[in-house]
Amino acid sequence: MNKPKIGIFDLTDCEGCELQMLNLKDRLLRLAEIVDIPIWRLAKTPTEFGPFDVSFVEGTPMSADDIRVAKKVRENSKTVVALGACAHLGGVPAELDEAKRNIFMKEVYGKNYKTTSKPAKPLSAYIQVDHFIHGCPIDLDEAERVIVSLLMDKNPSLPSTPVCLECKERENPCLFLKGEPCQGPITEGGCKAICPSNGLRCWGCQGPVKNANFKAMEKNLERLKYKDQTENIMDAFSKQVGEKK
Amino acid sequence: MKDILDKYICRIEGHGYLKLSYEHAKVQLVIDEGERLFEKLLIGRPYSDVPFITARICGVCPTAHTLASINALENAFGVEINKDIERLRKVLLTGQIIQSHALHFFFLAAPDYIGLDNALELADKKPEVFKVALALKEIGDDIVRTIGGRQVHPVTPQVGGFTKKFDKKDLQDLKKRIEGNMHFALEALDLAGKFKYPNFGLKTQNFAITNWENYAFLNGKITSNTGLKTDIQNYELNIKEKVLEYSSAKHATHNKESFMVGALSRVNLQENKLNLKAKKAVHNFKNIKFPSHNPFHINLAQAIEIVHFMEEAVQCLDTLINGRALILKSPYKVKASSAAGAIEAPRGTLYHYYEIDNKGIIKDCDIITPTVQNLEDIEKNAEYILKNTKDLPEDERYHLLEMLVRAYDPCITCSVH
Repeated sequence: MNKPKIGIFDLTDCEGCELQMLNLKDRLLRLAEIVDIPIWRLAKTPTEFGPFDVSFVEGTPMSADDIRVAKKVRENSKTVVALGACAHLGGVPAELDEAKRNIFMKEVYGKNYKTTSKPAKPLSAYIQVDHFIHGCPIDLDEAERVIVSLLMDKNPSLPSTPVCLECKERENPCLFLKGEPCQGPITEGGCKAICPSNGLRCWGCQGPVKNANFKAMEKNLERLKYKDQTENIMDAFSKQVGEKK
Repeated sequence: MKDILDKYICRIEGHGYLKLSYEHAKVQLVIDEGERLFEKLLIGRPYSDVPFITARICGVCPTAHTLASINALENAFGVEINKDIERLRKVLLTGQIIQSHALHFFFLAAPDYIGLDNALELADKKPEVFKVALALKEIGDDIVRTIGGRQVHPVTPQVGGFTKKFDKKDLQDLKKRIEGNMHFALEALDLAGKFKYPNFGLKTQNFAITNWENYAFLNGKITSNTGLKTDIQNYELNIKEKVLEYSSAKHATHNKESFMVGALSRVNLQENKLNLKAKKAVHNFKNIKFPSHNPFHINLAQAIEIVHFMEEAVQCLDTLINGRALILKSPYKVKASSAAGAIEAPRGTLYHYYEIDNKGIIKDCDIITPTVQNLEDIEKNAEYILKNTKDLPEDERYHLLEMLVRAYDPCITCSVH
């Protein structure tokens, strides 16, 4: 039997999710025995440029090359998986829209500098994406589960429960009840509630949970006197303020 | 797809490629990565968001960004952190440097010296080396996971200390695991001492943070081998950034000249302060003496630092374990202020600067990453190599340049923040 061909691609981002793939260590080595990875820029010189059975794409398409690569990956892959929060949601850089970017670009690079880049958007703004591995960075167990499911031709099932469930399982004191902001109730779980478990608020990096009630969250932040920080808190990884759903 | 992707240099962090004139020995390292504008997206956010967000600048050295931003904010508020916090942060930063060096040394650079294409081949063909590689990457990850809460993008460090309490038993276990892996670090250093490094190199300016008492990495003064010694608050006067049309990363210079930061600069400036095992190993090298101006020795310096920082982590943990109950919060008051902070990230000195209003909201920010400081030096050394290899075939010359870029361990994702 031919081994399935896997492509791993990175667009503009921090490369932390790719690094998490390497951090699978012996689990990755076991996977590497049953698949071929002809292209992974961070790890090797490419040996083939497609077609691929499954391609993992990390990062947001920002530069002209990013956008071209994303489209080529789609043309050359049976299945495309968005790897991590930047590919899934746009990530932290996505809070800057075109108007803000234009102003800030001049402030940082001066008025003579010409960029080829566009505002950060999710991968799905450019190509059809079949599956997602959530998080900033991706969780190793979730990544392994999705990869193995795909290799077994199964639909990778993701939790569809909010971060709060995993947070309660760990018996963490609720940040909301302490009067602090937390995105847990409207955010998809699967991260083992790592941030609230370590005293941070949930930042929403796993993306909105099914039926997330954004309006209620906005009201809550107002009630907790975080009105002037609502956008900063809710839109850190993807646009949520003013969204319906 | 080949036409787009083939030009990018493999086994480096981020997207860069070489534009060359072999005939005129001219080199441009084209950096092509979207500008994420982190300095600007922090404006308007509370200072407490900064350590979390700046980690996202780089997945390879997120802990370095988190700690540099905390350092700057604490300087601004005048926070005096206690020794427990300082030691625990040191342990965390050793973990960051070890995990990054192990990744770069074995997975990105070493295949060049062993004559392989990638680290997965290493698993097949040199399993004994691969075992060392995995063990060292894991111990670095382990340190960052234990103290920082996660190996990529830490969750525990914050202004004034840590978000969580630490059990001394966990620190004791961590110390044992580091000691148990020390022999791997020495094996790696032995291996690095035997690599055949191409022999090129121009005398350049070495920069690092140093202090009088030890091999500095968490605090000190900006120091160079050309006699500069100044407070980090003066960083802007000494490190000037310029914008180039072919690069979305800026280039930094000192007195209009290129300079080098990172493992080799640190070893060059403070070899005498290395911890015992590292120092002893360096003295046993027959053909290599420091200071060295061969940029390929950056990889050797990384192997030296893995040993040094593992010793450092053990010493800090020892003091923490044997001392009184840990206090991991230092009190502070938010005030309108501004200050720079700097630490030694794996690739060199990392500067963060913040201006904060009286409510703790960020008004301005400036970040200068190590790779921005190295880019000019990479190009200069690349041109030097081209000038001195006119007899070699083009593909060999190109391979040497790729090796050179990799040796510097550029973090392009960081450089375009």
